[in-house]
Amino acid sequence: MSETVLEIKDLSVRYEDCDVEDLQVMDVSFEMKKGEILCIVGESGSGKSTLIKAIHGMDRTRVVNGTIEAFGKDMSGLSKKDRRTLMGTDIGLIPQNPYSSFNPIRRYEVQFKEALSAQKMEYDKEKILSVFEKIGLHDGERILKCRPYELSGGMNQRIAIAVAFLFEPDLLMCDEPTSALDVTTAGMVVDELVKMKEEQNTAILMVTHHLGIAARMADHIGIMKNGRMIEYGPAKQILKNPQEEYSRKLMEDVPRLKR
Amino acid sequence: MATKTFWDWVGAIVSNYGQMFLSGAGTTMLIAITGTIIGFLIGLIVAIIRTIPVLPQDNKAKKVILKVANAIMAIYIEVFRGTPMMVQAMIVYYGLMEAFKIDLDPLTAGILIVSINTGAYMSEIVRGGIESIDEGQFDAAHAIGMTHWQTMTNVILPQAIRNILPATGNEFVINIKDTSVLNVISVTELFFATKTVKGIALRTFETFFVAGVIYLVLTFTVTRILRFIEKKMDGDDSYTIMASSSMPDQQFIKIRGGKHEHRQWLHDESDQK
Repeated sequence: MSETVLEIKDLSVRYEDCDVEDLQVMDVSFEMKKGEILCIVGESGSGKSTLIKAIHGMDRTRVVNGTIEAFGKDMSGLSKKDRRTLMGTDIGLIPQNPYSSFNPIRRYEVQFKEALSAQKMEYDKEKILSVFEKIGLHDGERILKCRPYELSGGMNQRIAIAVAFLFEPDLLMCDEPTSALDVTTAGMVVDELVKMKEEQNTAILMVTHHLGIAARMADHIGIMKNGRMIEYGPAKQILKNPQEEYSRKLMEDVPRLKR
Repeated sequence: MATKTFWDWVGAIVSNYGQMFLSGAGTTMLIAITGTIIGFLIGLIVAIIRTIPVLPQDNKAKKVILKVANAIMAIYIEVFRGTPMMVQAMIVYYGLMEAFKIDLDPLTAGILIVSINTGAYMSEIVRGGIESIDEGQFDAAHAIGMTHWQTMTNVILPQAIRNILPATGNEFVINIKDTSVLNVISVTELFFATKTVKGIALRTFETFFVAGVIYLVLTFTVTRILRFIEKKMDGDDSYTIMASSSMPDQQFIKIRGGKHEHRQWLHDESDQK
């Protein structure tokens, strides 16, 4: 249980085209162990998504300072080829915006085949349909014959989640995976993620601005503001007794249902 | 002797020299088609290479090679876009013969020039097509471990090519017309043939009128064919709109050529079972 999956030390990240001073992520450090769920919460533009992109080593991010170690390997030192073998099967990603992540004009069936072939995995329709079923996509046969623009935002988002699930990664990074989902479906996805953690011991790094989701699934919570991780600790402690002024404000701003 | 009218002359020229016009048009189309196809391939390859991302941790040799390749391609594009095709033709045909004793036959030289010239334009068109694709798709392809080649051929290029098809058609039409400059290296394309006919018939207006009509017929036919291909590439389910926002109905209205057509989806059949 205590095996470290991801270790981030003093990480500073900027985008390729920006000035060196213009850092999107500053001095962020944390560690994730197998089967741990870390939720990173913060307002828009606080650097949450950039952090995930940097860990993935997306082309436009540049690590200015610090190290990213995944499965004991220094990510920024890895060759492209070595990194590619980690992607998908070891480090999964649920992207923020499924509309911009899928090829809008091709059927999902083809896209699934292509995605799986990138890691030389077999296209197994039954498996895809069962993953679909788990996250509430009941007419999988039809969905596979559709193109992204023919489905709703929530359905597309769940298909993106299904892609990540199919690869069964050891470390799954989710960039606002529930932003387009209704409360019930979001709950379903959260349950599936928790189940994934419990059954496969997956470490999950979840970026969200939905504190409710963080409260429901997180083992640890990190709060980011202006590129810095201003607070980090066990979920219960942060939710009950936030130290920073900003965190307290964030908790207070959560809309509550009064009955 | 009664004076001949304009149409008399046109008729006479067509019936006497029609064969010359046709073989000229044939050469023009041969050069335009091969030139556009080869140019398109050059454009694809250049654009793929130019979009290879360079990362700080890549090894030095790769960085240097890519940098040199990019510089060469940038020079290639600038030079061939920035000089007239007529000058290029003179340099390739007469220049090579004079300086290096390379004796190309005019047709080969013509195809070569049109190809590399189109390639320079197509590189920029394809690059535009690639850049029009959402960054999120590059990121998503990266996240599942696709190589640059896989990303390009599976995800990006099918969309990019579809997007740049109108621009490619433009290049084709331009090529049909621009092959006329190859008359300076005595390629017997349509313009050269027309000039020859004019030399025999000694009627400028009527001869070039016939040539103009032939050019127009060629370009018009080509644009129609390209439009047809574009429609085919859109696929027969080109556009589907959800009829109602409630998912259980699953009723879609399909628009095809303005006609409404209702389609029952697989889903409905399985529901009835």
